[in-house]
Amino acid sequence: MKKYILILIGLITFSCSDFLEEEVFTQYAPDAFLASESGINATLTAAYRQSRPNYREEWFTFGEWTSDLMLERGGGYAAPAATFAEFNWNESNNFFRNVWRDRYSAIGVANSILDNIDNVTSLSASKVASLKAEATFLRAYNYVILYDFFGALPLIVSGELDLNPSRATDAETKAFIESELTSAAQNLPVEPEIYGKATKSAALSLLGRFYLDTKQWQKAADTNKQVIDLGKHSLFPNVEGVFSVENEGNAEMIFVFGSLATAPIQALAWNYTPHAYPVGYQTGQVNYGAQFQLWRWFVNSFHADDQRANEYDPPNGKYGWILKQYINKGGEQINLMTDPITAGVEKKYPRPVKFTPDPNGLGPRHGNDMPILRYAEVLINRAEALNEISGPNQESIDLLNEVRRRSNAPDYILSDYPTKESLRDQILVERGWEFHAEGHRRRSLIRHGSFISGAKARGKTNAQAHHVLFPIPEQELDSNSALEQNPGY
Amino acid sequence: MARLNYSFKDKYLFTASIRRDGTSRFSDKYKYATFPSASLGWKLSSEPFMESNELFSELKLRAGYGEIGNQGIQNFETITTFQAGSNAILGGTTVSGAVPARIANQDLKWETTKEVNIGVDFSIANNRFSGSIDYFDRNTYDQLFQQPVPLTTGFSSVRTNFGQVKNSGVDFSFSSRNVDKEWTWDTDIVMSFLKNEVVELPTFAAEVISGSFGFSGNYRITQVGSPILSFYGYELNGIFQEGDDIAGSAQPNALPGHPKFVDQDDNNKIDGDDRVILGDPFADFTFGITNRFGYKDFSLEIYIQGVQGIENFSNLAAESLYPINKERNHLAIHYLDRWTTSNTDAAYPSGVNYTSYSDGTNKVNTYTVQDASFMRIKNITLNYNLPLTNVDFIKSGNVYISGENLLTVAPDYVGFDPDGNSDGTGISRADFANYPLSRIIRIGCKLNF
Repeated sequence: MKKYILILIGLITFSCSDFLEEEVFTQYAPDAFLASESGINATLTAAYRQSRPNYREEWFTFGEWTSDLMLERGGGYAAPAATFAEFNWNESNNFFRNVWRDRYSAIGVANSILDNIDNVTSLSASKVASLKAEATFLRAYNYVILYDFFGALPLIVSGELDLNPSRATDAETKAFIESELTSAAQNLPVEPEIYGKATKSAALSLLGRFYLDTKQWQKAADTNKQVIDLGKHSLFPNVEGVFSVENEGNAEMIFVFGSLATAPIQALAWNYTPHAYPVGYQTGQVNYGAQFQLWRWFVNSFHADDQRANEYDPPNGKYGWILKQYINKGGEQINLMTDPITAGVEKKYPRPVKFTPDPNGLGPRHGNDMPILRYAEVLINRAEALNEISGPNQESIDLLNEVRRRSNAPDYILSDYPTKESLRDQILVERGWEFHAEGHRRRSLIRHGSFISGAKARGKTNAQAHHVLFPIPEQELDSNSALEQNPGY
Repeated sequence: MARLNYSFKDKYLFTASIRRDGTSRFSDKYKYATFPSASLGWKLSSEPFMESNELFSELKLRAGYGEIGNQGIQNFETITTFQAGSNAILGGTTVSGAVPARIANQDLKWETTKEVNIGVDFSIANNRFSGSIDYFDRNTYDQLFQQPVPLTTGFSSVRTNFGQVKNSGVDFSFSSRNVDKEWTWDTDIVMSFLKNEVVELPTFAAEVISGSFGFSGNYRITQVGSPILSFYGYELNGIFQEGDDIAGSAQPNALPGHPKFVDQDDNNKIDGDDRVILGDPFADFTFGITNRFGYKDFSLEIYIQGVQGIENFSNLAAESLYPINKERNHLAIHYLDRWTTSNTDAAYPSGVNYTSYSDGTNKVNTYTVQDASFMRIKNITLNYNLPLTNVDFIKSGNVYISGENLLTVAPDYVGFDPDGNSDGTGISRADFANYPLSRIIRIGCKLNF
């Protein structure tokens, strides 16, 4: 006998699908969001945030350890810093990937503004033009940084997805950056709407720097002159206070990224100072294992009257740019200029503390704004460009002296510099005194042709001509077959 | 969902089901998917022609096919949105920002796994020896995966349905009553053989290199013909000795004592193209053996487990051989047996000027991708049942001593626990100073009143 057992447990089908339609509350639909003033403003804010440099990588790892004025010892960061100091980097180094990623991410945010801002109807045409100019400036700023590190670039100018962009030519990249900054300068306000936002002088100063770095001397001289002629900026009278929190917004600062000690995340505070504080520095101050230091010869090279070499010694009421001695937690007197250096430890070099430590700092977080462009550079940039055009001239000397007088350094005299080369060399030295620890050094040395030769002279035998550019990051080459690596890598 | 069960004479068994699932995470065209499954069973031992057989007390053949879906992604991945984030300091205060959240992929659909399995259950000689053997072939199609994209897009990856991954293998399970007299001895054995292979990848991602762990990056690759997330790096071939033709080698700047990388493409240069697969995170073979002995009131149980043919990426070795800082995270072995002019057949390089031969993914090499095969005496328990028949107020009782993790043999592994994974619970395996397994000795007594 056959026996059947049949069990039908259930049959249910869903015929309605409305409840699966996603209504988005925590996230914003782009069309409506970017058509509103608040949406554009929020996205522009993010573009400022993402354009803010990782100062440790861009200024110090790339800009200073590869150069002649500074050294790093200690901390989890010692090996990567040594890689750069010894010219041992290669395409797989994550620092390249990080800056490439962060800068292109910022460019993507700026693109989303520029793609959509013409749909905003609630704003006046002039307001739209000025917002557009801000986004254009920020996008160009990121391209300037990337061009400095990597050379010719894939130019991503819209949000349209491109999975295989190739590099534009060097000429195309430069022309793009120049036209973008020129257009931004035309439409940006002279007075910033809010402190920290881009202005006409920011765009012109960045363009002036870019012309100088790309050796377009006449344009560099003219563009920096435009900033001077705006009459908006002047040197802060007291060199010791240029970067202090209490003097934020002073007329020397052309473009900064704002910081707050109370910022919700560390990346929005200035946490450089713990790198500068030496081992065992005063109780109550945070210091990091990774120690950022100046070579002693460099500190000794300042003129005796030059206030840029003034000491930082708060217990004795001194707030200069360089920490030379201190009493450590153990009560010992440490002299960073004369104590013997212990091989393998090497943490007894003087410290650059020009970014005057914030008295209201919270742990590692200080409130100092990040200076990107300042008037002293505009003056020296024009001085250098004029010397390249026509050799030593009184105007160059006067521009340099304007900077030197601010720190009580004696004037240069034209007759001391008979050749273009002699003044060029002196300008490079002057830049070290004025801009050390601001991430300028690598660019300056490359422009002056001494980045590689100087490294070799310091015993960095790995340094080769192709090291003036960094390699395109390996991961990017892996994911984009249209990219070509820089020669030599 | 619907299900049908059918059984004929208790010899032929059939089950089928079908389900239709929907999720809001996918776009309209792919919200719903249908997943059928079916299985067949045949109890041979109940057939008339098996009645005279004395060997098998039970014999059953099984076969099955099933599909299941996976929607394990985040919400909104099919639509472009902006989300709050990237605040900036403007005008001396924190101002809120908003950023594009992702590259949207409107074509995302259900990941589907289709499995075929064939098995046999058997029992021999009056259940003296029993077991089962299962072969399975599990293919996952349209796997939901983060596909790396060029960073110039402003993003690092986009969620994609991604090719086909095949897992196939055989599982064995046996139980045997070896001795069943005054003293007894039972043995249980489970064994599993597994092979994982990426069968198909989309043309836009012929290979996907990924992974970031500690200070090491890009240590794994997914490519057709190899297991998913295989370890990818540089093969080493010894150490440069004094007198070697270093200048004429692919590493002209190396020093004696530096590791020699294999120049896979013979272009006399060591670069990213010389990377090869150094291992994978899937065990070829795992087993567990339990032996139980009994004599009167004594019993002894021994459990041994083993894993063979599995590798991991040791970030611990990477940090030890290529220290980010001389003051942290070193293993002694890399220094005790390092190359010096008087220890030229050392296992490890000199460590002198190591930044010149280790940077980024160079760290992923034969030293740091290690064989994590091991065998472990997981547990031994000796038990004695107390002879309490004459005691009124205690029903039963026993005393025991047991030890866990008593011995691990991992001949090619350097680290604390070859079975540990510091890289989460997914497929990927990396070792970074896993907390070592504790060895536990228990002595106990149990009484029932």
